[in-house]
Formats: sequence, C-alpha cells, structure tokens
Amino acid sequence: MNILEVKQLKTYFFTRRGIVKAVDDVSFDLQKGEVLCLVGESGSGKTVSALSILGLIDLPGRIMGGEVIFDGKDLRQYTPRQLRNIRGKRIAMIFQDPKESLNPVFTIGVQIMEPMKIHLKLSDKETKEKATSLLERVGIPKERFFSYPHELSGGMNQRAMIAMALACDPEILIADEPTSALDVTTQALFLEVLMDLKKERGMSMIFITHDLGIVAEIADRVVVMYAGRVMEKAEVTQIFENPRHPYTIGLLNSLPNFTKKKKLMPIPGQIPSLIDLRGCVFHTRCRFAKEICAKVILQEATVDEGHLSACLFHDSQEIVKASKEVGV
Amino acid sequence: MFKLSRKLIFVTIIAVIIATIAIDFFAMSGKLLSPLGYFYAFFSVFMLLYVVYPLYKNRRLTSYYWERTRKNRLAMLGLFFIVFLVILAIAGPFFTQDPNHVNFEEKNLPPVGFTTSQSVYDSQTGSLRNAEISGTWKHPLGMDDKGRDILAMLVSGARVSLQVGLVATFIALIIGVIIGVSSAYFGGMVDNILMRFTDIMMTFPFFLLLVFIVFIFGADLTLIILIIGMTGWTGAARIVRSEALSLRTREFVLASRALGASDARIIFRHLIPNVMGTLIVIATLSIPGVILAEAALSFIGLGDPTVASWGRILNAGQDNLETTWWVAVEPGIMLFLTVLSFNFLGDGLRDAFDPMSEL
Repeated sequence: MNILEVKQLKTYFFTRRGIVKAVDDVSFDLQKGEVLCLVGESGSGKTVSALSILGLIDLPGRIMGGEVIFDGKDLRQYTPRQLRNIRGKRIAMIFQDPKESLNPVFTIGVQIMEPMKIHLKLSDKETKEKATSLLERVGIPKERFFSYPHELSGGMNQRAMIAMALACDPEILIADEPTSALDVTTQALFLEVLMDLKKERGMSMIFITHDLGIVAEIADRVVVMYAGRVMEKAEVTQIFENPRHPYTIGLLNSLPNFTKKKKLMPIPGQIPSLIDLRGCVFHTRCRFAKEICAKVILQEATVDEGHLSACLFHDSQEIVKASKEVGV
Repeated sequence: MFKLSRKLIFVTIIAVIIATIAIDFFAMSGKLLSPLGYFYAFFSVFMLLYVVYPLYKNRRLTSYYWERTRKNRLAMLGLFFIVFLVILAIAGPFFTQDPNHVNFEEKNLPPVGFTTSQSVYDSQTGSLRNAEISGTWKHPLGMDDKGRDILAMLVSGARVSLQVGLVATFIALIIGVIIGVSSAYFGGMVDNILMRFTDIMMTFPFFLLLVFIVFIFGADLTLIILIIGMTGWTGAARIVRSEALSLRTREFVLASRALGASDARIIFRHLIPNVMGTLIVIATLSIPGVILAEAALSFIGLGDPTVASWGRILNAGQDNLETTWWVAVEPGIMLFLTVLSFNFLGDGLRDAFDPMSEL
C-alpha cells in the first residue's frame, strides 16, 4: 500500500544565471513500513525532493509541477496551516548536521517537548514524561534532559533529533543524510536505534544518503538520482545485483571491493550545471553514451517488474555485461 | 508548570494594568499613578517574566556568562556603580530633603571641605558684607543659587536618568527586535520595506523632532521618554537583522519548520532567544546615549521642568561656573560616571557573549 506518492515533481530555482532544475520529473512512491533510500552524489536533488514533499522550498525555489499524494490527498493543495499540521506530526524530518539542527540556546529536553507542544494537546507533565521516555528510548540517559546541544556528542545530538522527530509518532520519517556527520562506530549505533524504532512503530522511512554501504544494510527499495532526475528505481537486491543504468553501475564500481581485488573505477567528470540540460542528464559522463543520448530524454523504462531505468540502452549487451561485472 | 502559564500571567497582568489605566482615566481623572508609573509597572512585569525568570531558570548558562563577565574588572566596577545608582534612585529620595525645597538663607553653600568668600546679606546691619562660608555636613554637596540641596537633586536626578535610560531603551529594543527579526526572517519585500523605513527613521533628525514635539505638547518626561524610545530603535533593528539573517539560514530553523513550527513560533522561540546576548549588549551600550540625550535636552531647557534632571542642574550651574562651580560640576561627574559605567559594563558583556573572544 502506498503511503506517499510523488508524481512528476518539478522543483526549480530561479537564479540570475537561469532556471536551475534541481528536481525535474521525479516520481517515486513509498510503501507502508518500508525504507526507501534516495541515493546520489551531492547536488543530485535528493534533499530538494525531500524538502519539496514537506513544502519547505523557499524562494528563489518553487515547485513548478507534480503531485505529492499523502493520505489520498495532494499535499500541494494544502494551505500553509494544514501543511504545518502534517509536518512533525505525520511526516517528520531529520537533518544532516545534528549540532546545527538543534537550537543552541535550549536544552535538548525542551527541544524534544517542542513538537509535542505544537501538535499535541498534552499537559505539561505528560509532555515531560513522554520526552524523558523518548530520550531514554534513543539511548540517552535521562539526566541529559537538561543538557545543551554543545554539551553532547554528535551521535547523542543526532539521537536527540530522532527523539524530537518521533515525539508525535509520525507515519513517515524523512532522514536527510543523518549519518554523514557521524563517525562509523557512532553511525552503527545510530542506525540500530533508528531501525529499531522504525520497526517498533511501523513507520515508513525515506532515507537520503550517498553511502551505498548503508543502503545495502537498511533499504527495501532504492531510488538512484542524478542531476535532479531519477536514474534507476528498484528493489535493493536488484540495484546491487542487476543495475541497469550506467550511473548506478558507475556508483557501484567506485566502491572498494575487497573480495574481487579490483581497482576503483571513479565516474569521470562532475555533475553538470543544472541550467540548460539537454538529452540524458548523464550522457556527458557516461562511458556508454551514444550520439542520440545528447538529444533524447527517456522517461523511465521498465526493466523488470518494479525495476525502472532511465537509460535508453538499459537492455543493450554492453550494459548488461557491465552490470554483471559489478557484482558486489 | 509555570512555563506554560507564563504567557497567561503576562496577559493577565497587562489586562489588569490596562484596566487600572482605564479606571484611573475615566473615574479618577489620572490621580492614581503617573503615566510613567504605569509604564514602569509594565516594564517590571515584562523584565521579571521574560528576563529575570529565564535567567534564573537557565542558571548554568547564566553563571557561565556571569563568570566570563566577572573577569573584566572595569565591567564589574561599572556594574557596582550601576547597582549603587539603582539603590540610590529607589531608596535615596526617602532619606534626602525635598529637592524642590528653597532656602535662601543657605544659598550657594559650597560642598563639605570647601570654603568660599561670598557677599552675604547681614540682617543686623542691613547691608552686604564679605564672609567666608564653609560647607556643612547638613548639605554635603552644597546648595545651588536658590538654596536647594544638590545632593537631594542629584538623587532624584538619578531616578530620572535611570527611568529615561531603562524605559526608553526598552521601548527602542522592543521595536528594534521586532522590526529587525521579522525583516530578516521574511526577507524579500518585507525586508525591503522595513529596512527602507529604518533608513528613513535613521536620517530623520531626532533632536529636531523632540524640540518640535516639546514645543507643541509641552515638556513632559513621559513624552520625552516615548519619543527617545520610538526614534532610537534603528541601530538595534539593523544589528538584530544582521544577526537574524545568519541565524535564519542555520539548519535548526529549517528543522523546526520541518517539525511544524509556525513563523511566529520560529521568531519568538528560536530567533529572538538566539539574539538575546547581542540584545543585552546593545541595551547596555545604548542606555548612556539615551541618558545623555535627556540631559542634553534638559540642558538646553527643553526638559521637563517639574523634575530635577541632571541636565537641568547642569544648566542652572553653568552661568556661575567661576563662583559656584560645584552646582555644574557635581551633576557633570554623576553623568560622566554613569555613562562610563554603562559603557564599561556593555563592553564587558560584549566580550562575555562573544564566543570568539578569549577571556
């Protein structure tokens, strides 16, 4: 059952140098109880997609088209007030830098109570009890209720952020690279807490990351994004075993692989300027690019059931062969 | 428990004050309290609920800043003098003589320890004769040319100066913060309009406006305070705006929006508490300016004639600087010390609140 559907979302930024199509024709859906990973390098439009879902795009950015269907209704038709009632209560979001995402002048306890004060009509005592139990649930001793963010480690702050986001029992949690600012051991603890809570509450989750290791660990389905477009969408096993887009293949090849002792193969070049893109957005860096790639934009083509690729040649022998060679 | 009901308490007290004003105005024709008295009531309620209580509640943060401020000796000296001045202003008038009491017998009496020769009217011979007059402990700071006790005038002047300084700065800061923060937060058109309005207010000759208003409505301390406050917010608005601009792009603002906070909530719960440090510094640094403005106004004779302001005593003493110098010098010293104290304290607080400074 789809709990959230994003259809042909277009978010453009109107800058002096031109229109930046940060998110262009992005569609994906989130099923109840699953973890959907948005993967891609920096600037590929993952964060903007997430912010667009919640209607948090500020000028000069604007959502130019598409639908975000939640609960059978298009969130884009909601008034700002209705949207505020969704945010934090039914769809919550956590961000990359835990220190930056917490207000430096309030104790974390106060900040965990904040969303409950906004959305739930509870007595002060109940709010405080709930905040304390949440704090303990994410593995922070309750004496830390009166600590300021600067007195806690990055990992603790990030877990406090989860407590804040989960304060009102949201149905969907959007996590925007929550592990990027943490070191590896802290990451593991954080992910454990997060996944436990997800299971406990039957939440659905959109997890944004560029770390394919984490994707392999937690994802049910994966959306690979590049330059504001969806490159490939599939079940997580399909992405790792049978990638059918040159970009996904490139990403997987640039991962270190200890079993096959292969040289790392980085994707040459960098993400193009998002102004004035023609043809397939990836053709400038694609090693399989043909002439036609510079002219034609392919909407997603079906590879298999539930496996979509935006490559014209996703079925060509070259790509199938490259896909076999990846093998993670 | 107190936390949620704080707003309620505030609103209730404000309602009570407004009701009292209404009763006072309609039923008792303004006899209960002066307008300034009401202002003070409002001011102290606000300070208690939104400054003292949070400071008390966040004791650790408060003591952290206190420790940092304490290291600055000049700031502590300034604070010491300010506390002394506040006590003087509150309690002093109960112990000194009536500052408006005129006693021609003892006019031009010098301060203790000084002796001057003056021509004195001798009631026995009925003629003027030269006499040596020494200061007495009854009037330790001497008398002015109308025989008023200068100590008493200085003490009641301290009250005036502090009233002007605190209340006018308070008004200015409230306007400045609201304009500065909303300008930064909403950006775009709102920012443009508010900042151009600030520019206009900045270029407006404030002194001319004051002279004009005093000319039309007469010199009244409340009016003067209101005008100083309502024209003096421009600097604060700009500083607060620049601070809030950088705060606005911080992720915690986005994070609280993502958790469903409204614009008003972000402004009052997230932005304003974060500019509080700057605000305290702006306040202490702008109080001396305001005190000087009132003194200057009184000095040129546009002050409220019913109150013994330091500026007015200065003005009275300036004609006879050669003979009765103490009349002008004493309020001058008080003004000097007060302004210096606030500046020292402000500097100390600025260093304490500046995370970059190493103390």
